[in-house]
Formats: sequence, structure tokens, C-alpha cells
Amino acid sequence: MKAFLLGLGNSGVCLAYCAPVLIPYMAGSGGGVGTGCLVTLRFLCGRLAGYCLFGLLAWLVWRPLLAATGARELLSGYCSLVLALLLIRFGFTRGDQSCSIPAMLKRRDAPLIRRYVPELLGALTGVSLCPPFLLAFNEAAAAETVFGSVLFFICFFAGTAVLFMFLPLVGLLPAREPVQLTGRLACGVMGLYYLYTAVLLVAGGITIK
Amino acid sequence: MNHDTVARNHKGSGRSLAASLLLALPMLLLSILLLSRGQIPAGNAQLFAFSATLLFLNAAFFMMIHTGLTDRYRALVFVMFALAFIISFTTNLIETRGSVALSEADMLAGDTPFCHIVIPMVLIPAALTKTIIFPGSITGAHASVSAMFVLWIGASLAIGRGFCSWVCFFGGLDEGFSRIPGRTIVKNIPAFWKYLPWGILVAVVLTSAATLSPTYCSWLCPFKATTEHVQITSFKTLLQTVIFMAIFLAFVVVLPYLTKKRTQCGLFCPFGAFQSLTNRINPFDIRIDGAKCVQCGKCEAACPTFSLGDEALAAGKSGLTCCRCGKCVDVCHKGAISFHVKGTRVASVSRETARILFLYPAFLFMAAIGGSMIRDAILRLWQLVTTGSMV
Repeated sequence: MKAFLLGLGNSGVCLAYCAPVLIPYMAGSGGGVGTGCLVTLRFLCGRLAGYCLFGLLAWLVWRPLLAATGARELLSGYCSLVLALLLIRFGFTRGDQSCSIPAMLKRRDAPLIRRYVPELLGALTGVSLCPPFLLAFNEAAAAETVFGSVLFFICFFAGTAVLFMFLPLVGLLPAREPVQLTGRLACGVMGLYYLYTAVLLVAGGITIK
Repeated sequence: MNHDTVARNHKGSGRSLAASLLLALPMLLLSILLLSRGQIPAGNAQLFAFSATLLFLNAAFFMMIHTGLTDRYRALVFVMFALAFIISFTTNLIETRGSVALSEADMLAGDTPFCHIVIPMVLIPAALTKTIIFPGSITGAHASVSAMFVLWIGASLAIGRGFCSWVCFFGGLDEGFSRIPGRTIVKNIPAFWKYLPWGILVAVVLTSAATLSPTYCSWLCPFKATTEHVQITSFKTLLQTVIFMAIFLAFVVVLPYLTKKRTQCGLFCPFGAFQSLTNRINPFDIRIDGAKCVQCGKCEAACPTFSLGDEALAAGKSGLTCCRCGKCVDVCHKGAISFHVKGTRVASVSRETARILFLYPAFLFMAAIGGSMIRDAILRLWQLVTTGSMV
């Protein structure tokens, strides 16, 4: 319950951080509300997978390492870099329909990474290491068993995911070319933003006097 | 198409000198009122600056009325306006806080003048948190948030995205670079890129709402190259500086010169995309008479913001992103394109009447905002000549 309430209290923040990635992606992919529900669900699954992994890590050995600011920023930076590359590829490559949901569902032979774009986006945005996440991380690390730690993160995830139920409404946008192009370009721009963030996180706090 | 060709093709307004003077007279009286604010300027320098500005603005307006050509005189004032803004704004910053660089202390004190480009980014956070996510003053200060909002609302209702061709104090820069004589080197820009301003708009609105900070200002705005920018004290601020300088050079200087288009306004600016929505609510638009149009493509080639094409010609009006500069109207040698008052039949209001009805609010906004900047810039240049310093 504590974990769920912690997640619920921060669901607005989580939505705010995930929406700039998910909304342009959904708009760029086209499809109606049904497709939007599927994309959101897959995105959340990716987030859940990321959270479970962290739940496991929290309980095992990474707590002191990830408590160190530098390592935390490096990890966030590398995740932001991968996210950036995914978004830039989707946003600025034209005529590449393999990242869209309908095409992905049909093309079973598509490379693995292309088939699981929403899950990857979810996992990478989930690893934001924001203060609520770190709080949950610390709470989970104090669990007596690995199962307790993972369960804490699952409940935390459930709380953060409540507001995501409104995101499929993006599917109400008309699936016309201008909307899709705008969505894809917005993804590309978000990719550049995450690239900029990644560079700052990885480069660290260099000071210029 | 160069300007001499435009002039040869154009048959003029058909109006006598006296009629043109009469039509221009109200603008003269209004501009005197706006620039003087009810007081005759004292001192030689002030009087010279006031008179020169008045003469310049009203000469341009008179020529618009008399020749029937809108764009060339609008562009002249618009470019001068942008240059004057740089001179006036930066010298004012140096006088008031000693530097164009913005420090943390300045931001905390709410001393940052509010810029209209931020408007789309502040709306969602303001609605959700009742906070203006910009380090400026709500009222009282120079370029306060409330003053800019009132200006923006008024201009949007009157002229829609005409804001980008008549009011924006940055637009004159890429307009100026696009008009440097020379042939068009890059002629075809893939249509895909026309949606980039919309993509940037979606991205910065969402990230600003997520981070509660104006992300476009922080890492994308190219005009920090000509106005104020954050002091370089860290890797982050250095990176931000490199980014905005690169965008400025690419979209404001190089691409406009190569394409002869306003690439910053048409292919990048998220405010321009946002402002396009106001074209739906203002009383004017640009109509294309299919019966007269011979599909020569001159209007499409001339349009600086990529608002004309096959779709627009088929629809009989310019695209949503039209910034009402009047270039297509001037360039069309068949008279197929005209300003139009919404709600009226094209034939019921003459082309010239509709154009004048548009020119008045548009030029008034331009004179109101640009006039004071041009006057201040002239004063600064006078000071430079007489004392060796603009500050």
C-alpha cells in the first residue's frame, strides 16, 4: 500500500516525463484509440520491466553504487542516449514504417529492436532516477527478500500508471499525414532533447570559471 | 522574381496622389500619438529621432497605399525594426545590468523581459500550477508578462499569423538575409520539413509542462545570439550557447540566403506554428481566384513560409501557415491573389479595399512596437556618433 500510494502521489510527474515521448510516438504511428491503448500498454510493460529490474538490483548489490551521484548520472545518461537514438531514428527517417504498430504486428521477421519499440521507450523513460524513484529504490533496498523488493516496485509502478489511462485518447487525433508527420518530427526533436540531456549527464558537472 | 519584375507586372493601386495622402493621413496622426505619447520631444537628438522615425514609417505606409505594393515596403520596415530591436534591446540591457548575459541573480529577481515566443510553453503549466514558468515580472517592468500577453492577444485577433510578418521583432532578421541579392541556390526543400515547427511546438510544450521550465528558451532559441543569453559558467551553458549559435547561423543566416525563404519562421519557429492557429480566428485571409490563376507557380516560389502549393491553389486560399506578408499578392501578375475579409464574398469587397482594411491594423501594430525601437536605435546611433558610445 505504501508503495502504491508513493507511486500514485507521483503519477503526475511520471506522466509528465513520459508523455513527451509517448504522445508524439502515438501521433506519429497513426491508428485510433484501440491502437493507442495497445501502445500505452506495451509502453507500460516496458516500464514495468525496467522497474522490476531495478527492484532486483535494489535488493542485491547496487544500492551503495547507485547512491553515488556520479554513477547514477552516468546510468541515466546512457539510458537517455539509447532513448535519444531510438527517438531520432523514428522521428527523422522517412518512409520507415517498420516502427509503426500495424506494420510491426504483421512483420514477424522484423529485427527485434524494431518489434519492441514501445517497450523499449517505456523501459528507458522509466529509468529516470527522479527523486520519487530513488525514494522507492531506497525503500525497496530495505526489503527483507528479493521478492519484497520487486513487489514494492510493482506496487510503485501501479500507482504511477493510473494517469496513463488517458493517454490512448491521443488516438482520437485524425490519422492524417500532417498529424503523423508532426508526431514523428516531435519524436525526433524529443530525441535531440534526450541526446542533449545524455551529453550533460555523461559529461558531468564541468565548471568554467 | 526580383522586385523590378514585380513593379513592372503590377499596375499600381490606380489611386491619385491626393487620395493616397488622404488614406495615409490617419496613420500619420496615430503614429504621432503613439511615438510622442502626448509630449513633443525635447532636445535635438530626441526631436531628430522622433522625426526620422515618423518620416520613415509614414513614407513606407504611404508607398504601400499609393503603389498598391505591400511586401517590399513592409519588408523594409520589418528588417529595420529587427536591427533597431537588437541595438535598442542590447544597449538597454548593458545600461541596466551591465551585460547582455543573464545571471542567476537576474533570473531570480524576475528581471528577464518576456518574449512572445515563450507563450505556447507557459500555457499548460499556468493552467495546472497557476505559475508563469518564466523569470520575468507579471506587471510593471519593461516587457512584462501581462503587457506582452495583451499585445499578443490583440495582434492575434486582428491579424492572426500576420504577427510573424508585422510585429515579431526577430522575423526581420531572416527576412533580411533571405533578401540579400543572389540566385536561389537551394530550390527544393522536401515538404516533410514544413512540419518541423509543429513537431518542435509539440516537443517544447510537453517538455516545458514536464519540467516546468521554458525548454525552447533553454536549449533551442537561436535569437539568444542577438539578444540576451545565460552567462557561460558551466559545460551545460557552454553547450547551450554552441547550440543556439549553430541554429542561428543555420536557420537565420545561411539557409535564408541559400533558399531566399524565411527558414527560421517557416521551418523552425514553434511560436510561428502556434500562431498559425490564430489564422482561424482573425478576420482576414488570402484568397486565390481560380478563374484568373494560370498556375505559373510564381506565388509558390515567392512565398517565404511555404504556405502556397497545389493544395492551397485547389482550396482557393493560402495555407494555415500564411503570415500575411503580401508577397504573393504583389507577385501575381494576373491579380488572382488578394487580401480578403472573411464573411464577405470576394467580389463584394474590392481587392484594394480589403488590402487597406488589413494594412491599417497590421501597420499600426508594426508602428506601435517597431516605432519606439527604431526611435531608440536612432538615438543610440546619434549618441555613438557624438560621444563614441551607444551606452
